[in-house]
Amino acid sequence: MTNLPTPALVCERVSKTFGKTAAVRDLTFTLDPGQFFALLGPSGCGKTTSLRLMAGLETPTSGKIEIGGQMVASENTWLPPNRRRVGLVFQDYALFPHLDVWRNIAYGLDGARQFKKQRVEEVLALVGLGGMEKRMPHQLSGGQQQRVALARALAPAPAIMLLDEPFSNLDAALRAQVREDVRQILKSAGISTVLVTHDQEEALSLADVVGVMFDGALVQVAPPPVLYQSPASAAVARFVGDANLIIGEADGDTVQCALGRLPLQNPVRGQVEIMIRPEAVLLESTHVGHAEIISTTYFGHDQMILLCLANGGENFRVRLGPSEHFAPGTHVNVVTKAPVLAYSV
Amino acid sequence: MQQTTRRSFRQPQWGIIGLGCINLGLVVLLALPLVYLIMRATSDPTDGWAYITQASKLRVLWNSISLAGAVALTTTLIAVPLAWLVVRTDLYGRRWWTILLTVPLVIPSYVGAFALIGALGPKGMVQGWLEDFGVERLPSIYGFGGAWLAISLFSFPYVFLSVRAGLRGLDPQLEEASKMLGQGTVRTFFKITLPQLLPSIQAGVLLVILYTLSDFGAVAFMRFNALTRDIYIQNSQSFRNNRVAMLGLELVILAALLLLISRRLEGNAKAYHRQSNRKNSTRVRLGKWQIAAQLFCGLIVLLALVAPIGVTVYWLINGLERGETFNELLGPLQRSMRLAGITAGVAGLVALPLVIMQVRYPSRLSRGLGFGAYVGNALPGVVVAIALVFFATRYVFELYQTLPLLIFAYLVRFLPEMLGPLQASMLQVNPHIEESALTLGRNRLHVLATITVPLVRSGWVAGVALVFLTVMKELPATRILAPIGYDTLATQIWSATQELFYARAAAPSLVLVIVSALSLIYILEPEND
Repeated sequence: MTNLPTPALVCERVSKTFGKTAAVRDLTFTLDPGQFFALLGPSGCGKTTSLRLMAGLETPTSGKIEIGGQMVASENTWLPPNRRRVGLVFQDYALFPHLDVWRNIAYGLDGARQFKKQRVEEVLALVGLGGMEKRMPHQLSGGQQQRVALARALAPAPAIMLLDEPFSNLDAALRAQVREDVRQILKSAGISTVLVTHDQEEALSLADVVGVMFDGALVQVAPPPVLYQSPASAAVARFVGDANLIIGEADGDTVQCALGRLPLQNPVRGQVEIMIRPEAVLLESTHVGHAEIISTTYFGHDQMILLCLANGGENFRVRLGPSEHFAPGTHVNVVTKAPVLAYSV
Repeated sequence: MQQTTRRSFRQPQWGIIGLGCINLGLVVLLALPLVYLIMRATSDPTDGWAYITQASKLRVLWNSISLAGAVALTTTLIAVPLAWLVVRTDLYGRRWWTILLTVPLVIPSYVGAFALIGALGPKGMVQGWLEDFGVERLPSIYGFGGAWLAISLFSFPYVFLSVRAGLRGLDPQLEEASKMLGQGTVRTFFKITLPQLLPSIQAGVLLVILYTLSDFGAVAFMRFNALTRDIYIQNSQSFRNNRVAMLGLELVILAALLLLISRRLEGNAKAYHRQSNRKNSTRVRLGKWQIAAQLFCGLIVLLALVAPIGVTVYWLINGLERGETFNELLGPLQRSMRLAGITAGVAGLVALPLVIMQVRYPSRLSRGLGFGAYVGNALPGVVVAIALVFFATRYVFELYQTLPLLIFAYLVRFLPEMLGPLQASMLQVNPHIEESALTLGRNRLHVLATITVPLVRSGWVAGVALVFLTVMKELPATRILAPIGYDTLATQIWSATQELFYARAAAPSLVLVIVSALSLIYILEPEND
């Protein structure tokens, strides 16, 4: 007997096939109460289908789903979406266009008018839209519509909150702000959340735990720092953040490659792909350097430098602070700051 | 093991099963007239085949086909230049001309025929004037000429609208490129514009042909023995109803073929269609041709709009002067509206489950059911009517010449008009909106009532209105299936014109023209966006 709290959501070997194509394969993960989980993957990888399975908008082909300790889908259980107590916010918000803000939010509420009134006021205050009750959805900006959608989903106090790419319809300038606001709102509501996104920056900055999904299957589940620093495979490394992958020959503790002999983070042998983040290296200007600067792109807060490695001939990206200066054609040495990660090929 | 997992996993979704059953039952009912028609027609195939292949019946078939061909040719010759004038030239007053050239659609073919007869027929306006000059008889308006004129004048707007839409969708840069290559306006029109317009001309012409083949009013008023009229006559004279059914089947096959072709062409038209970035192209300057173009537009509007309404008003005044009153109008008007109202209401109810299944649960079954619900498009009113007469007299005599059977006939015939706009509305409802409502704890019926139905209201209202207005105008099924003495506006115009009491037909004709004018708003609405 343990006294661990009941998980907010448990998915156990959940699969979904449409005809012959497997959209979701053996999805397994647990969401702790109050946790923010991001399901990250390229478009078409099955992450939206996963979310719809949790919401009850699709029936799984096999597997079990438990929400707040209650079995909602299994071999002999099926709870329709209206009885699952999940909140869902779509990418397009899907506000009821014929109802005003008040009626949109009160839609999922039962009980006396006084109670509804109080609850609507509460969630509107939570999302910072107090006084907007009488507006119609088309009179709201994109960001406001999104907050109404969030308030509407929060109002019936759902057991979990599901967000399907909720920020992708906002323009870039607004996105960062809204993202932070939404995280604050959900944290202060203390609600367990699953976010589906294809934007790795969004997943890393918002979530407590990120699950990376390729081709319908979870390939890695980890907190953002672990995911970024120790991706489980070259594919994950490439998808999460910017990564240089160069060929090398490993002998256990070290690896021989175009950058010379480097210490390894993980022991491997034989042909490997070495993963080096652009910001994980320093450049030393020297006439006999093994790399040559091709171009530099200056962003202000930092700069991206494109190198050509002498013996490999491969392109190599380096991110440097704003104050250093390297002219194209300069020969440099690439020095890694820490032991590198390598994957057997 | 795997098998049991799958079976026990999904609880049966009773809602969807129920929906499927309702729709299946509905489509079976809607298909009944067609199925029974086929059964009757093939009950004695040798006799039926011998009947429709005898010289006089082949003649009737030829009448229908030649009439449709003549109308198709005439309407194309009228409509294509008109459409080109209003879209691509600096024709003065082109906006007004566009409206005026569309409005003839609102004149039901038999009202148009009545107007022509009232003007040019025996004891008509023109003869009345000419009698003072000793002209006793005009060449007869009845027959092929009259039917051809009546249908052409009031159906050319179908081609006009279709070609106009096609012209507006053309990429003006192609024409400009042709001119840059040294081709003149005329050569450019024939070499570049016309070939690209072909799909929209074909679409419009097919509509006109289908309209002509299934039209009963104009050919009946003009006493031209096309298929629809012959079916009507044989039905009232012949006791061999397998023969009448065979004639009906012949017509249905013709109509179905045309519908198939038009569906095929629609697909092609999409392939042809190239969205152009620039909407405005430089207009062709008519210069000295401006006057000729104005006269051409004016002539068509005069013949297709001013003249028929003028004649009707003339007979209305003529009748009032001779002591006719509007009293006789009241009963038929009420009856027409009651029939139209009930049919529209029922259509509005049954269309909802059909459209929901079509749009939200696409499958082979729902596509099949959707196709079945559109069966009315291939069934001319006179054919639906005789099929139901045969069915009722044989199996449920109590229903024969009762309102429920008549309303059912309307439903079979006009449900597609309800389904079109409703489906268009439903397709615009984002399914995420309904799904959001579900996750907020509401069941499907609640979501249907509070979210889906309010959101498709505009399409629903348009559909109901369209059915209402079309039923008001319907003639052949009403004539055949209505209880004895149950006169409607349409049948009143029919009997008055048959007896040459033109004055008595005038008032109901005007009412119907006004009613149809309202329906034009709904027919044209999709063009606005």
